[in-house]
Parts: sequence; structure tokens; C-alpha cells
Amino acid sequence: MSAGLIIVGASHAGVTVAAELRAAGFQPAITLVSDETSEPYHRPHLSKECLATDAEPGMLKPTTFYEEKGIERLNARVDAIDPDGRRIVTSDGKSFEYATLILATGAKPRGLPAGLPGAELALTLRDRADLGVLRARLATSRQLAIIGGGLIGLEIAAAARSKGMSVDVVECADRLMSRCISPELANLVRERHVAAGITFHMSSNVKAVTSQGIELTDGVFIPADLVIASVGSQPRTELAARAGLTCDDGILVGVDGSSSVTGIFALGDCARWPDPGLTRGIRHESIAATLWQAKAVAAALTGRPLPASTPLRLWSQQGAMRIQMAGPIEAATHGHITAAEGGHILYGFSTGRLSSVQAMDAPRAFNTAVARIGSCEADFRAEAATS
Amino acid sequence: MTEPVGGPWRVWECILCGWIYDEAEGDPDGGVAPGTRWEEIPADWLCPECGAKKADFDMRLVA
Ligand SMILES: Cc1cc2nc3c(=O)[nH]c(=O)nc-3n(C[C@H](O)[C@H](O)[C@H](O)COP(=O)(O)OP(=O)(O)OC[C@H]3O[C@@H](n4cnc5c(N)ncnc54)[C@H](O)[C@@H]3O)c2cc1C
Repeated sequence: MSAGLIIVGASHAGVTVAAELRAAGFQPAITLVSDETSEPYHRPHLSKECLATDAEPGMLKPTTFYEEKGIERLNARVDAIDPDGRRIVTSDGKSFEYATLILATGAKPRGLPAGLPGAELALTLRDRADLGVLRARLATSRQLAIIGGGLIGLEIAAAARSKGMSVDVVECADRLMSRCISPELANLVRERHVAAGITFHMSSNVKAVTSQGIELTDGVFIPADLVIASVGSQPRTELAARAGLTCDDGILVGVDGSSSVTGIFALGDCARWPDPGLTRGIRHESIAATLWQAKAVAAALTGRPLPASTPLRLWSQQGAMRIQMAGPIEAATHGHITAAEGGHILYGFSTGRLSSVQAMDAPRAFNTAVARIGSCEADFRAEAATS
Repeated sequence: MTEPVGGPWRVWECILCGWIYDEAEGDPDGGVAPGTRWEEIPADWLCPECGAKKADFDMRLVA
């Protein structure tokens, strides 16, 4: 068999790039290698319905998809790449030749600082195996403490609270979700969580984790029989770095996903992608960015033009609350928040144009507004004046 | 193309991520053949982009 395409990682990035390649008429053999035993699944479900309702995550594609498309799936961990010989080696010692290699190895939870006493007691959530462990512990625990008030931490908090657990959230910043939503909306979200009975410890730092709970640096002790750390993720770049690919908190790639080594591409959470406004590029860590990158890599490998860029969207389900975001929040110099559809919508403006939109429980108004990103601020003022 | 039986093809939009389901195109990778009416899609089908449920889609009036 002649060497074909090997993709390391069979999640949103790996599966989508394989599907996009087949859709573009790519003929060579495709092998998807994953160290997870599960069929590829929707990772965002893990912290949402899987915790709130005990559902299993939805599958990314029907089981028959892979065979129909001539995509082979291999369950193994890739331990080494030999870029000169164009081979990969798996943990069971087998080696496979490739013509092109795509790295879609994703990310892993950042975890608490190694020096923090009791750091190893805190659980994290990234994959189906973690979900199994977490569910078993949640079933026998009553008091949950979560370190980190980001999207995922708050999703877990809301799900646990809806099941009747007592929930404390510790956040080092003075506001929640600082990476993805603006302070005004974050405050509204926090009010809703507080009304649901979640306790927040803002601007607080953890001194130690114990089997009885969390000790904060200001002396407060939070009793808990289960501690979860949700403090961000780090790209899985070890394999790439060992093979000599240039990495800087992510595998550095060009606009077509090509790495610093010929014949090797990278995308998804493991890659740092060029971004027009930023010198260092970006790891957006979202489904939207991953899917766009899959289209770009497939286009590059089949000699077609790169896809047009669109505002990247993010969403979060926190209990009954649905939060959606699109466009970079840092860019907005000012914004205004209005009631819409029973919820709220926030328009962010920069240099006289709509640059970002965020919504809480206003999905339809959100979709309409996203389509208007780039339009003039003056139009919105005129509308506000007449409504 | 001739007008499909049962009226023109309709278009549905995922309210979470904005992905568009066009009845004419279906979702072949998701096991839904082109020309499948919205009502005929199995209830356990998910939005291929964000994994939202069928109930999280709205019909788009302007196709
Ligand atoms: C709990 C949670 C909730 C989320 N919610 C949202 C959300 O609501 N919206 C949103 O847009 N994004 C969300 N995200 C982020 C989103 O899931 C990621 O952006 C997306 O999964 C990135 O896809 P990926 O394929 O690049 O990486 P991953 O999904 O991390 O997949 C990488 C895969 O590669 C495998 N792998 C790694 N190294 C090797 C190796 N050496 N050999 C073999 N296999 C290997 C891994 O085991 C894994 O299966 C969430 C993430 C988490 C963890």
C-alpha cells in the first residue's frame, strides 16, 4: 500500500479535516489515529448534557460514515514522528509511513500548579474517561468546589447545582469568564447563578486542596468532598516538539495549517493559527475555529482557495441559561446591552462598527446580530432611538 | 431542477451555532440524504457543527 495521509487525533479537528478532504475529492488513503477508545464524539457535551442529564455525548458522525468514506480508524497512541523517513511510531511499537501528516492532538487540562499542596486531589474534565470518573464521584458527593470561573467551570457548577449539590466557585479574577464575555454580561450571568444557589469567591486564590475542601490564601476554608479544577487548557505539543516542529504554546502554523516541517500540518486546539491583528497568532479553542481550520487545511491539500473567514462563535449552556458569543471581545472599545427575546444582548463596537455580539438567552436575536458584524454603529443608534 | 413534490425545499438554521440545514442538500455525512424533508429527519440527529438537538433549529423564512 502506498503511503497516504495520517491524522493524529480523531476528534473535532481530525474527523472534520478527513470529512472535508473526502468532500473535496481527496483520493489517497486516510488513517485517523486516536488514543481514545470511544468513537469520535461531541466534546462540548461532556460539561453540558452529560453532567446535567447523564446522557452520553452525541457521536460526531454515524458509525457507518468512516467505512463509507474510506477512512480507516486506528486506536493507538502515537509516540514518535520521524519527519525525514516520513513515519510515525505508535506506543505498541508499530510504525506507519505517511505522505502527509496532520496533527490534531488537541489540548489537555492545565491542572493546578504542581507546587500547590493537594493539587493532585482536584479532578479535571477533558475526555470521556474523565467524565466516567467525575460522574462516579459526583454520585457520592454532596459539596462540590470548583476552581476556575470560566465557561467550563460554570457549566459544571450549574449542572451539579441542578442536581441538588452545594456548589462553591473560586475565581482569581474579580469577574467571571474573562476570556470570552464582557464584564456587563458576566455580571448578569453571575446574578443568575447566585439566585440558583451557587456561592462565588471572587478575587480569591487557593492555598491548598485537602480531602476536606479548599483553603484560600485569605484564610477562608470552603468545605467540599469533591474538588474540580477548571483553569484552562494547554496544547498537546510534546509529540510535535520532539519531532522538531516549532511550537510556542501551540504548534505554529501558517494560514493553510502548514507547520515548520514539510509535509506536516496541524490544526485545532493543538495549533497556534495566524490572526491578522495579533503577532503571536491565536489558539481560539473552539469548535468554530477548529472547523474553519479543517476547511483551510483540506483546501490547501487539494489545491483550492482558502475559505472566507467568518466571525468565530462560542456558546455555553449553564443550567437553563444559554450564552452565545461571536467576534473578539478585546477589540470592542464600548458596547451597549439591551433586553431581547426574554434575555439580553450586548453589542460591542470598535472604530464605529459592530465588532462583537454576546447574548444570554436570546439565541434568535443573536443570530440576527452576528450577521450584522461589520455594520455601522450609527445604524444601531438610529434603531435604538426609534424603538 | 423541477419543483420538488410537497412544495419548495425549506431551510432551517441552528439557533446555537447558525449552521444551515437545506432540505435540498440534506446532511449526507450525518446520514441524511439530499432531499430529506425536515420532518423526516430522525429525532436523534444532531447539528453536525455544535451537536445541538433537532429542537434547537428554527425554520428560516427567507431561504
Ligand atoms: C468540557 C469541554 C467543553 C467545551 N465546550 C465547548 C463549547 O461549548 N463550544 C466550543 O466551541 N468549544 C468547546 N470546547 C472546546 C472544544 O471541545 C475544542 O475546541 C475541540 O474539541 C478541539 O478539537 P481538537 O480535535 O483540536 O482537539 P480534541 O477535541 O482535544 O481532540 C484531540 C484528540 O487527539 C487525541 N490525541 C492526542 N495526542 C494523541 C497521540 N499522541 N496519539 C493519538 N491520539 C492523540 C486525544 O486523545 C483527543 O481524542 C469544550 C471543551 C471541553 C473540554
